[in-house]
Amino acid sequence: MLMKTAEAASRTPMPPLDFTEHRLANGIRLLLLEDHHRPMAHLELWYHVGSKDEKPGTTGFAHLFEHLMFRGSRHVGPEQHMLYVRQAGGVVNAYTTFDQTVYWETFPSHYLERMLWLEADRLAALDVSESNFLREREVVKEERRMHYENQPYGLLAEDILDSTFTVYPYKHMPIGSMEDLDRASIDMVRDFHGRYYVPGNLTLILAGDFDTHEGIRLVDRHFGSLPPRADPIPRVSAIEPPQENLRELRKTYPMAPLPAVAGSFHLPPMGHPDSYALEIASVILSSGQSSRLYRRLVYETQSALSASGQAYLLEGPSIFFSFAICNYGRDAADLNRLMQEVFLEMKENPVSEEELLKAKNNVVRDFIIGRQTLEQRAGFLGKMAVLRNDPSLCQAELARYQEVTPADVQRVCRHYLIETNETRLWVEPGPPPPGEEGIPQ
Amino acid sequence: MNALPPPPAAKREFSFPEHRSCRLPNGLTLLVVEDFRQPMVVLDLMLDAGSIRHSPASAGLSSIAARLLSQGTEHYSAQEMARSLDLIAAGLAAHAARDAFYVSMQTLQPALPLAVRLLAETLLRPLFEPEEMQRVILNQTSSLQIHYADAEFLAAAAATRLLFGAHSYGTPADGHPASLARMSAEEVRRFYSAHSRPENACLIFSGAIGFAEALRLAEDNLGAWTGGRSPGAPTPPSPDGPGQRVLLIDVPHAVQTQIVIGQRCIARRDPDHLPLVLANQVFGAGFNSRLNLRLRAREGLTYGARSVLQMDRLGGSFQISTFTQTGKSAQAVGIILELLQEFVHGPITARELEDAKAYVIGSFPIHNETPGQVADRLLSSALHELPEDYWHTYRQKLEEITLEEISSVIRKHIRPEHCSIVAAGEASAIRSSMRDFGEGVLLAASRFDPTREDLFLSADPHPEPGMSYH
Repeated sequence: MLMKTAEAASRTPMPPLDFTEHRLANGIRLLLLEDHHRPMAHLELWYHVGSKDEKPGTTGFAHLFEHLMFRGSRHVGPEQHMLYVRQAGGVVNAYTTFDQTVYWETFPSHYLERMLWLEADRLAALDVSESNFLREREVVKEERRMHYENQPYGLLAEDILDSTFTVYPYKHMPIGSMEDLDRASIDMVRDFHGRYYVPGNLTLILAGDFDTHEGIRLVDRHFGSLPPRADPIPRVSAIEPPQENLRELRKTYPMAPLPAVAGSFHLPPMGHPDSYALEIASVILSSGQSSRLYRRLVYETQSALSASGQAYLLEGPSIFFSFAICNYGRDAADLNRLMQEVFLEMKENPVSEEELLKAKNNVVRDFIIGRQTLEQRAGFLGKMAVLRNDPSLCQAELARYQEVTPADVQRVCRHYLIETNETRLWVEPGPPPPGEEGIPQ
Repeated sequence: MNALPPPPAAKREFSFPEHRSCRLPNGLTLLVVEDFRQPMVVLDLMLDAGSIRHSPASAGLSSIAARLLSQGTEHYSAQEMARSLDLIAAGLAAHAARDAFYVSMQTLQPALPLAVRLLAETLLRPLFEPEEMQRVILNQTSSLQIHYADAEFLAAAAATRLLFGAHSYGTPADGHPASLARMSAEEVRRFYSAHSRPENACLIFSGAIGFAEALRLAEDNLGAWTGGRSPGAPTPPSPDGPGQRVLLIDVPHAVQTQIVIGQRCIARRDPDHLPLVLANQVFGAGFNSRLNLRLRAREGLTYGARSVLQMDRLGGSFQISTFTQTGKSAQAVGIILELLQEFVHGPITARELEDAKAYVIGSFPIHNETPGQVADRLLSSALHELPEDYWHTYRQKLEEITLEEISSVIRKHIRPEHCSIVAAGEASAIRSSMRDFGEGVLLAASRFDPTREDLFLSADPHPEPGMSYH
């Protein structure tokens, strides 16, 4: 019954993702996805600018800028954007990654025009005072302390990326450094807005309860008069040279209670033919309690509290990231040895048909259960449109995973999961505080 | 471009999805929400076996029982169960909260019959073998070590412990390494077999399934479920929490202080629930709340500040939390206390009430977008024994709340003088400035064990010589 059910699950009919693409005269790309099941809609604005576009000495600025987008524009006061959305019964937020900055609102659909008006106003011009700029910079510094500096393993990604990349700007995290945040000034705001917050750099996605023609008309009404920018938008030109030797670093994190080991391996960008097999390999290694890393490191040997290894695919040169934290009383060198053994097995033998089916069902689940909400579907469309430059790819994407064979998985593991391609970070815990009596087992 | 936002278009109504329910002959309650938008089904089982059903000294018992359900059953070893669940991509998650114990699955529609069978296997035939128990205990102990090194967790756990004292609401459901070390597989087995009782369970299907099919699957797989004993009424926490008490938790190397200021509050079924929800919106929920506007937008002291009403079956709490760089800790606490005084003694404006209602009522459809969200609401009304039409009349009830009612519930339930103040951070840098808020006790993070009956406060106000301050 198990295999039969698993095969039936793999054939679960995929709900269609029917969208309309439209381009405004000024270059804004518009993607519309009607869904009338709930009287609600989701608006998402993807600006194709992220932390990789930051120049040296200005790390964290794309994200700080995202915060400033909520601190006042021509007709919207410093705290009003959030309030206007809230009064409509909507929710709102934004995020900045290495590649993109995304602003979104989810709201009762009869407020669609209000949301478009709000977004168009801050694309047209910001109006941020010096004092609000300085305060918001402090807010972002608290965000950095909260998510990175005051967490037991919070600095791990920052440390490992800094060594993984020598020149490519994925070398730094979107949050940036405190020093660079302190250097940021209000003068940089206008320049950044003028360079990246322009119609040709915007993809606007609208999903939910509206009529497509009416949606186009309303977007055009609010965004159509914004002038296009004449000069080309600057893009990253750095090329990361191939890594030739294992890079190893050791860090002591004083707040971390347990040793850990992390590894990052260079990968090609998302959409590369190898990327699908790499994601299938990630599922086989890390997803669920039957995954290979869980089984060996957590279950059988009880060496690790948690263990994972997966591809993080970005627009530019990407990484496979492995991370395991020791169980109490266990050793990180053992953990690393076990992890390398698991990788070696992936390289030496093809995965079984059953494991492959499991991984593909996992992908099917992500495509169905992971795309239930308007926000999830809009996010997927945005990724295809902005980072892959072709929204229609979303229709064929599932088939790319379905085509992966055991030989593909073996080949990509052999090619990428090798020591000379790895940067390895050993995390040592801080000394136990005075009076610590140890944890009983 | 217009200086004011365009008016809304004609509103489209939203009705909370209908559901059907019945009781199986063995007493199991079944709820079904038919929703065929996606070929998937959410399956949630709620059992009256939360941490309220064991003593605080056994903190973590219900949580360990939940984790062990899938780690070896009569017909499946732990790894066979994992293989089966993963192969059909049916995530199974079990966890214990205060009032109940939950086993949840999300499954692709063609895999539903097998998913229900696996769910029943975990619920009806777990073995709780010592070897699996030892694995789970080691894993959870290590995981708790990380939690107990995290200032955010410490501040929240300590505040909850102060408010509820030695009642089981005062201890984290996942326990403490010390309470896990005391636990035996036999104790877990006894606990689960006493509380695994269909009369005290509720199963919901939400998604691409009809009622008749759901009923058949429930009967076929869970119809033979018997056992357990009537648990009786749990003991509520004593009516009042402690008076104001200041607790500093020393987290060496912290660069930021986590602050929680809180007091005891009403249980979920209290008739003042909805007016308090709106009051909390005004004070500390959302970006535009008084709390966040002041601490974040106006002062730049934090990335986030909020207040939360946690209302459970036997009691609740009102807790304000934020974080700020070490040197600004006392300033942030001072502002929160000032805002609390204004909240209780000053007026709420008509505009504030209108905005709070607009958000809570207006966002109802967007917070019921998925089958899982709808299932959560229905389980919550089952847990708290709310009226059958509760979610259908919810928005109307909110609409009817007046300014007078809000002001009255704030004065009745929010008592700044009863608040406890907890700060978790670098104590040497904040202790002197925190003196302004009253007598306090300082405790090393490594000594914090919420499962100890005396905690550290009542028996000995100076647990670490030289570290207490007055």
